[in-house]
Amino acid sequence: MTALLTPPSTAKSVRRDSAPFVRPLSAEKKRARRIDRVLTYVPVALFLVFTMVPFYWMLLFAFRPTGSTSLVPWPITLDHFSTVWNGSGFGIYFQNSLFVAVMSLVVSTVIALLGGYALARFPFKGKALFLVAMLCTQFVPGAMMLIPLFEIFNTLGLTNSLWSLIISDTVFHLPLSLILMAGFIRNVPMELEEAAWVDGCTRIQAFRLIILPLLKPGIVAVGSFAFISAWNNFLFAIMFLSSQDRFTVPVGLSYLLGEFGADFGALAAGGVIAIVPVVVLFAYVQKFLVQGLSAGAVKG
Amino acid sequence: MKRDRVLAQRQMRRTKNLGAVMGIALASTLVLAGCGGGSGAPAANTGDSGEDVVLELWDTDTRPERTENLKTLISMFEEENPGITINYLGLPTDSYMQKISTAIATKSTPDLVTPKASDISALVAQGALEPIDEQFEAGGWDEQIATTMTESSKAASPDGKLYLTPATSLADVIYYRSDLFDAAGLDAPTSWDDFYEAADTLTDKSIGQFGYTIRGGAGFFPQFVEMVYPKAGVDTFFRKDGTSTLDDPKVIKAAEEYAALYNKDTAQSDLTADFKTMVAQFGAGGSAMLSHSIGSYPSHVAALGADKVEGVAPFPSDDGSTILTGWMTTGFSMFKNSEHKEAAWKFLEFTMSAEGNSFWAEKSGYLPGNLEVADEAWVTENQPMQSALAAAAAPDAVLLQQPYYLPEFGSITTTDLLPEWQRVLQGDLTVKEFLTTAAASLTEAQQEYLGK
Amino acid sequence: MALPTLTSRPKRILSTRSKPTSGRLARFYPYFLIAPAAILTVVFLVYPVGSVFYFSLQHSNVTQPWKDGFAGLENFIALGSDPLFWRSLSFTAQWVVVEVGLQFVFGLALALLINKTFIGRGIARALVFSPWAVSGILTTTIWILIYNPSTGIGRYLADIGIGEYGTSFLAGDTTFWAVVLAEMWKGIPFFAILILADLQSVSLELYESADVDGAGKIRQFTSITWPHIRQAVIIATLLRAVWEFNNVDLLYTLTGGGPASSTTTLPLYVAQTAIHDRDFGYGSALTVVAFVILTFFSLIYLRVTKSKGDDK
Repeated sequence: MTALLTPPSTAKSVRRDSAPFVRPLSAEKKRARRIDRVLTYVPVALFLVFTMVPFYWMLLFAFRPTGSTSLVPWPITLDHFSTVWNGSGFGIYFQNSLFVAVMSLVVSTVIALLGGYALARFPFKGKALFLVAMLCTQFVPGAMMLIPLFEIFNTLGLTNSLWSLIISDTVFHLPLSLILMAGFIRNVPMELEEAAWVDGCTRIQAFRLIILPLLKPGIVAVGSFAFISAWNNFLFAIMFLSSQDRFTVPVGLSYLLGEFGADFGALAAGGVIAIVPVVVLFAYVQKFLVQGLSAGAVKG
Repeated sequence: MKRDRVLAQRQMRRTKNLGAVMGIALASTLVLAGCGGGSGAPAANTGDSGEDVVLELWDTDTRPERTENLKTLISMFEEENPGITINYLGLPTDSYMQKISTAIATKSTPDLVTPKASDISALVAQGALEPIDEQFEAGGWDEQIATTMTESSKAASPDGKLYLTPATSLADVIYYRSDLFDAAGLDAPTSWDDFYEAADTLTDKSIGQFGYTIRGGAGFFPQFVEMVYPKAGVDTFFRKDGTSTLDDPKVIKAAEEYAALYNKDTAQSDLTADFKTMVAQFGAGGSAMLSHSIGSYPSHVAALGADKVEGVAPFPSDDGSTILTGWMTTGFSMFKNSEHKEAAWKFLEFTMSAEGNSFWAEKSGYLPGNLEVADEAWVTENQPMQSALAAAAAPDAVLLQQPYYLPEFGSITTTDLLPEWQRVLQGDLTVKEFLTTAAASLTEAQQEYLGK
Repeated sequence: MALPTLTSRPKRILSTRSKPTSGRLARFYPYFLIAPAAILTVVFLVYPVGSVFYFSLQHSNVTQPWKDGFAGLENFIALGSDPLFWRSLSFTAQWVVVEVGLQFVFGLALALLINKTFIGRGIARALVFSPWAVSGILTTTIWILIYNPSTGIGRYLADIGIGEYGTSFLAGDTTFWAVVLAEMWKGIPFFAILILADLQSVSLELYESADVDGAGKIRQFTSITWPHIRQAVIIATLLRAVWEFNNVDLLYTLTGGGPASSTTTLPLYVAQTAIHDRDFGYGSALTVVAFVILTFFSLIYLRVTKSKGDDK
């Protein structure tokens, strides 16, 4: 089958009589292939345009001098960036955001793995109730629960601590992480685990050695959702923290919007600063979303 | 089978090691973070003996330049008052009230805050602020600060006490593009007729230029008052009997003229125009005139250049009376729960002193409260400020006080009235109906307040 | 549907002895596993959610404390005759259905496209998924810039003769679709990422043998792809719907619920009431109603989409 995909150049270098027998593509197969290609590239291109135009708009405002109305950011100016960077403490905000997001990611994913495994593999009493309860926690907007949450954190001595953010981000994100992870785990066939048990592995070993590698796309999806959700959270950051040096990136950004602030350039520049690291990180990580089943199943 | 088990064990060891490594990494991050971001109350207030006091100040209008200026003000103060340190915390302009309310409810308020007059009522109702009348008088400040500003500040609170330092004040102006006026052969506007004429003349839809930007979106009410009451010549929000003047025939007539501007001399998009949109349009040359306060002057200069934009106070009414709108004080307050009230008061004094007030008012672009400072050169050089002050110097000028002391004032004029105003602009509601209903709600609120 | 097994030995019937967890403790195993999640939820959410229910039965306005006190069902009765409540309710339904529906359809399409092999796939994937990484504030900022009549797309379109100057996508008949589009920009990657991750566990051999059998693309989708991703899609859709229901950032910033309250969802109304106007009692009552509605519809949704043989 792979022979069909051999690019013409290599086929040329192989002598005709020693090449494996390959049925040449019929005309209709060729057309079908071309149609398929068009049907793939065109929609992807459209999606790309739709996705990129907003980003371009932001870059336009960030690099374009105030008052200019050209569609291209030329001449480029870095004034907006210096306004934003010098006027705010973005360096510290980044650090804090990073800490909160990473810890949320870790805590979320671990809890989701544990709970997801239980949901996927065990029929236990109270499962339905547990699920419904998890779901119900999503029904009340966080803004309505600020004072009680603050009081709880106060009692635990966690006011003005980044941990209050980590906990609240995790708690509000748990239902999604749990249920998604359960789904991904369920996709891994039971037979693999059972085969490992037969080999003498404990459940934990089987999980670590067999299931975990196969869960990479799932972990990447769930983990990145948790990371991004924690990174972008504004409400809890502004409400639970009271030291300037503990604030996170979304709070820093909010300073650029307001009744007397209509500096779109600075706003866009702030946006670029805030987005770039996350998008770059995410761009790198998302390639793990597509590790096929082959990567891990038939080893050792 | 044995081979498999050995392989499995080897893999186990590898994963165990990996697990150990990750565990150590995790633990060390936790420890490191614990030192930096671990649980802890905000910077502890050490010492009650008066030595080395640390105050917390929350800013309600955080923007990059303003933060810089405020921090400079703070360090100026700290230099003259060794032993007092002030920690600055910036709250976003759109959500500061929620944060303060949460702090009040959970008894975690700071020492100082930077409210506007319109915030006072809500804060006082929650019992959060410390009245400063005594200290104000004892310090002789009533002679150093403009009386109108002090009166204004007191009027903002439900009990008429002074809760914020009358450090600076805003004032309404109408900005106009002097260059566009010149190009069209128009003189600077000096009356309402000039204004409405210019709005018409300068509208040219084909090039995307409109004579005026009308605020149809969030925050519309102050601009509505600015453009209606001075023309109507009505100088008070409530009559003696507690009824609202919004449905006064003169107000209705002026409002009808104002609303008629929409979609004739203004862009259709103004229906939802909030501050950002208005300023963007003005700065991009989409409109020739804009109503706002002197506070936005720096933005306009940054976008257009000082030679292209000027500001003029709203014009006298048809019967010649001068009504001043938008003179809202903004200053500094101290919280009732503060444990360092003396030190906090020292800072409040600094914001009103000649040195502090001059710096702060000039940098903010607001009118200074300190009478000495009002004579300084920079005040004269700020064109919109001069226009506002000139209007205030008119012999019969009356300051229109908005009833900030009413707790429902904010929610009525923003949440309740906004959709109705938009309906008026869309032509689904008459101005008369709109104002009659609005007057009724405000009258109700005022009656309740008076009856209290 | 046989997948490569680890060893080539014939499958042995598992005896209870070789099952890794047996005995009395095995029964509690799942409870230990869900304990962290359960404990966190109980500790941090029970009291806050409960307090919302509590306040719905109170008159509570911190800036008019003299009005505070027990209200019983007064808030709920007031609700019933509040026209804005009913209007926001119907708009919310419209908003959620349209938004989630479109996001799902386009997200699915995107996932299927990106799953194919083509040149530049990696970069394309990284780019089309990136809106998900953008925070709420930034998303609204970007779209404000785009929709701004003076500096946005509208202005440039007017420059070349399409549309008029000074018209805004957000100020007329196009308001709804303008906001829908903005929210879709962020929501499509959510579905696409999830579905793509889920698609990874479908064996390529299945498609290959389907090809050999002569099954067309559509048939392959309905018989192989859809049954596989169905479970994840059902849950993702539900969670996304709840999220769209409750999340008001975009609407709040782009339209403020206007013009003339035409784009106010119930949670936006809650935000205006409870937070801006500080009428926390009434706002809590609205929240409770929203809660009940969401619970009701979630249960119905789950029941309807539950298929035979699937355990929840």
